[in-house]
Amino acid sequence: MRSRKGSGHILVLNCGSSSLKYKIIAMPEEREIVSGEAERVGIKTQGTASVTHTVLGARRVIKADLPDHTAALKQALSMIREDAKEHKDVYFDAFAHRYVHPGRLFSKTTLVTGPVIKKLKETLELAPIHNPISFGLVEFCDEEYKRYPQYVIFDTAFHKTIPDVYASYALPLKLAKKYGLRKVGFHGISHKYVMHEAARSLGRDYKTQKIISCHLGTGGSSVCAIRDGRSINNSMGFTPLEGLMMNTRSGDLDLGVVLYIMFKENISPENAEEILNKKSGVLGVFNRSSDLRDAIGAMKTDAKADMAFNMYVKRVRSYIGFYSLILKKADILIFTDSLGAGVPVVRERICHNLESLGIAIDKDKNNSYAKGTADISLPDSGTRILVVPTDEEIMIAREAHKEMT
Amino acid sequence: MTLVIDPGSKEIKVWQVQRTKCGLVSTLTKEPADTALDKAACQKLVRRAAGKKKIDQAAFRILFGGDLFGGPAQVDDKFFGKFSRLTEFFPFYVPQVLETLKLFRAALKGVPLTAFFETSFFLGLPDEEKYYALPYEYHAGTRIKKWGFHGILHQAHANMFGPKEKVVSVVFDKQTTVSAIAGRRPLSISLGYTPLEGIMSRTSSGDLDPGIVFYLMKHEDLSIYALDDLLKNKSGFFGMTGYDLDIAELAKMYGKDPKVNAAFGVYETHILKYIGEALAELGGADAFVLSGSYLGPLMPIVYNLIKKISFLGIDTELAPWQSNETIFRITREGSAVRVYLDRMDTGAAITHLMQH
Repeated sequence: MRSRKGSGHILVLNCGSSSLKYKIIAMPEEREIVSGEAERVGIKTQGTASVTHTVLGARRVIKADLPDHTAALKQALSMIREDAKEHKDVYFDAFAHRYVHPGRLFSKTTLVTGPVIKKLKETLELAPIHNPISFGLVEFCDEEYKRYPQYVIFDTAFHKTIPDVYASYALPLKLAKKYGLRKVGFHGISHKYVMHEAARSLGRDYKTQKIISCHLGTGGSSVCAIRDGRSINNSMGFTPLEGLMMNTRSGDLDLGVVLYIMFKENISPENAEEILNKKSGVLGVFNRSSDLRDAIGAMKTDAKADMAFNMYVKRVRSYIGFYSLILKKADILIFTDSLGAGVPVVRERICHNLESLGIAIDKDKNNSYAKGTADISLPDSGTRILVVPTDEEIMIAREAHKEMT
Repeated sequence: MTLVIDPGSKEIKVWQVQRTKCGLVSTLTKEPADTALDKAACQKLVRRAAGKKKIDQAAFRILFGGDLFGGPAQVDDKFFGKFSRLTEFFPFYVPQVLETLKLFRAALKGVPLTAFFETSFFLGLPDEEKYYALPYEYHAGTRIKKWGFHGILHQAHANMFGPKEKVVSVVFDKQTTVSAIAGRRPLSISLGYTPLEGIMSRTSSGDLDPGIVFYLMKHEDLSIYALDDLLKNKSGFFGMTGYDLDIAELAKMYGKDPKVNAAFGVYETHILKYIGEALAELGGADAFVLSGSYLGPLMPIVYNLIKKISFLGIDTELAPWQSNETIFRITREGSAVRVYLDRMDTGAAITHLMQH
């Protein structure tokens, strides 16, 4: 460790189902030293896996074989080691992991110890795509970087404020209580970050705003309803499988269909779970790739690509309609993450014909959006539509730094 | 006079429907389905229901028409062969309906007979609504898709409006369903491939995180059958409250019992979810039509719902909302969005469709 007391260089690790974002952030000044993202990790897509790595402003892209997230982290650490030889600021004192679903075992940022690893292991099935990935990285760091403290930051904490009326399932009460079966919600770190950033950019107090936040990623996607700074609903549920259609997840589905398929095909719950988590969604419908951007590229000539895109858009619109009702129209509609901030046609089609809910997009502003936080709504739109690149890593670093000091 | 027959698995319902100046008025006669049915028994039931009035036409209400029946069908010799092809979907219901229809056909000799299906209207759903985001092989060569339900009432509501009007139709029945209708065609429906999808009912869960299905199977060591039973028969209002009561009875406890309040809170949330979906599909609504056999008993909940969405431009008359008309408007003149209550039952709705 090289940092003086009260400060620290934190290596933040943020796993998506097919990506690994990493950053070394100098705290408390929140200065980004290294940032990078491994994309198309361990999953069937049309492109090659790559790592985009930026050190003190200098960017390089490396194509690499990344069969899993540990391979992606090893690649990133190797690049960091190379950079450290040339730049004295390139080092880290601690790891901070985004961890998707701690169940009822953890409710706040936690320092990793032996017993913590044991407890985390019990949570794997709660988010079968994300938890095993993050857990694998926690184990790897624990074995390979023993002298570095590690922190886990949970993605569910922001949604603790979802009221019972939106969080409860119509299940037998005893069973719901026994297992804590209620909507947990995810992407909380991102929704919280973009809430702050959107309100800041409009010069408004986030504690007075009604916000619909769309975190639309090439991995997971969720929509969040926020009132006065508190999450009141999230499209994901007890697990991240509920809600929107995603890259390989089905999202909302008739449970009768699930039971029918298990019965008809004589498959185990584990296999059915894998089908819904890893073989459905965009991949299931489009069949050639799990990346919606590939489907968008092919949709003029490929009916399945067109179908996948229409289904994806429809489900986001449905949740915007729902949350517009419970918020009685939103003050701000936010688009973030790789599809939300990165693909104009996604935003345009989602906002199409929603003027009755106060949402009116400026197509020119939308198409010309390049970077940063930007307002893409028409002047008379009751709801300000904002593109806000998320920065979960800053939020994670803030949380870890609080624990370190 | 029109006779409408619902050959249900628990009871046979027969409506005698007549047009009056207040709209279509129907009278219901019921017979337990386990009664040994033959031609004479059918003739007796028809006479009980119709009295001495001349039967001009008769219709059957059928729950499921699959891909084979995209609209009403004349009940003739060809019909039976075609309908029997749906047996694989409902191995108990379809043969029983076939048998009952044959008997009534004999009992109603000379009367034109038409079959109406609760799913026909929804064959016209857009593909992105109709299909689930499952692996391709589950769509190709299978029929896993949304069939929907309450198509007869939703279609009757669609016919009430002009081709450019956008309508949200809600049916409060044993199942509650919400449909978005534009240009008299459906854009969405809350109920899916099976009745488990959508809004919770007396004993079924409605929408639920599919991840919970696998979680419960593992942790409670439940078979598919046990889970099916849990979600269909032990959840919903019954599961949440522990009260094995009809929804009409539960509605009387609304506001007095915390568990009942919590259950109706979740029920309202489910309905709002689908109204929100409908509004997004339609790009706003010109009108809402609320109907179904539980509309009356659920009026306190309906009132709450309307209050919650009144910011959309709904300006209602003061409650209670009463009228001699079967279908009547409860919004004031000038309300940007109109809301209608429809007390038409299935018998009247089918008669309405026969006349349009």
